[in-house]
Amino acid sequence: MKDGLHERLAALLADVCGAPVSSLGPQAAPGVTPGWDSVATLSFIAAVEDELGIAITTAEAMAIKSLGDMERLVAAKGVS
Amino acid sequence: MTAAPELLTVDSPPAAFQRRWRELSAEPGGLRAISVAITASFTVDTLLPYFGCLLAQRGLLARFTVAPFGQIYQSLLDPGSEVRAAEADVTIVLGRLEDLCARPLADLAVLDPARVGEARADVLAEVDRLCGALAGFEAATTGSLLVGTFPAPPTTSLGVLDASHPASLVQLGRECNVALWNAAQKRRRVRLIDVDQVVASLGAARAWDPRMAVLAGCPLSTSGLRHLADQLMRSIAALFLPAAKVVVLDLDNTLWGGIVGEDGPGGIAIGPSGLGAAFAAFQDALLALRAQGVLLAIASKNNEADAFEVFDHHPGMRIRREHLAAHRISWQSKSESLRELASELSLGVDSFVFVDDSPTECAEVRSVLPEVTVVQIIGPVDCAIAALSNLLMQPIAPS
Repeated sequence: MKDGLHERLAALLADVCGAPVSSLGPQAAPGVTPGWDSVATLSFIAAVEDELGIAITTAEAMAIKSLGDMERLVAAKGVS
Repeated sequence: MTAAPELLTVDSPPAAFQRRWRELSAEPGGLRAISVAITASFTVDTLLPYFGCLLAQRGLLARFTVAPFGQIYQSLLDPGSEVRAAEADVTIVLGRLEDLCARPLADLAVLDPARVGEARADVLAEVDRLCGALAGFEAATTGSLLVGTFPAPPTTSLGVLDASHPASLVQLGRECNVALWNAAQKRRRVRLIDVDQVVASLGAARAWDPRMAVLAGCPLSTSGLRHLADQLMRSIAALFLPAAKVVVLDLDNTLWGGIVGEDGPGGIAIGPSGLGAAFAAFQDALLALRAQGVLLAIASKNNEADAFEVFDHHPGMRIRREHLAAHRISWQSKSESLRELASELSLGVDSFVFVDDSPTECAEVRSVLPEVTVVQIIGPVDCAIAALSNLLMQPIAPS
């Protein structure tokens, strides 16, 4: 269920960057979304790994330029 | 009773720190402000939320000045640098040999026998240069300096052979740390923070995260950052907060195993072997605290005669009656005993640390005397030694 995954990831991201969940669409991005700085990116990755039990490589982490990117990455790892 | 905010620890999730740090930045409340400057050979921005939140829990609000990474010498020696201009209460210096001595370390890695000696000398000379900069900074400023030891490299190209090889990176790191320690002995306002030990206790695999180095310019994992922040917080708390003066101890299952009123003095566990040895080690740790000037006192629900039979005559006891500054051994509440001990010793209960194995007693003291630091011993008594070693570095927070 794609919507469910988006909600879960948006909630984790909202937690680290302090933006309301409702404001976080797939286009939400570091440097654009308020509060999403490099510190938040690292915490977001750590939170996603802990919460979903997956591992994200350096190359994958570097390719994450938006919440939508994270959704696609996580989905590709078999999380739904 | 208003709900206290959840206590953040090294095990709390990063997001909880981010949230708290945002709240603190927006609304600092009545915390005591201190200025903290940081200069490091790597990026430390990711450290600040953890460090700031842990300090806030000790009543300190840090105002951070952070130098751009890789400018340790400029920060310390250039009077126009941000760090020098900050005139901070505490200046923190964190370096890694990988960053400070990249070239000689690369020379060592290729194992050219002709260059090993020279490369080692270059690395040690760089550490000397750093020590010189620390001395220069100390001479020009009035605040304290907290200097990180060099963490052992996460991996070595020699693997198991590194231990005995002339080009050993781990051994070279140790020599650099000895040089740092020697320099710190001569400087009154320079204290070391043992980053190497922080990484070792956590485990290199957990403390480092190569992804962080790429993404954030900081090689520590979120877990490594939280543990480093915790140690930094303890060092700073030791500089700024009053230290604990009295450790008040329960007896049964705290100072010895078993219950003297039921098992009898011969039936309790305290002595050279088995479970008794764990309690003996705990008592030794308490005596070490006493040697450093901390008073030991007893608050126990027991018959006084039973308890002193153990203190005076049990061959396995380390702590004896003469080591105790005061005692309340009766059936009254622990909070009442603590109040009476405070009055007898002419000290505030806010300088007390209370140690007990009973969750009920700990909760009673926490609720009646919130200014007392409560340490609940959980499970095997060796946990108590760990708790106590933290206590040594854990001054009491103002309430």
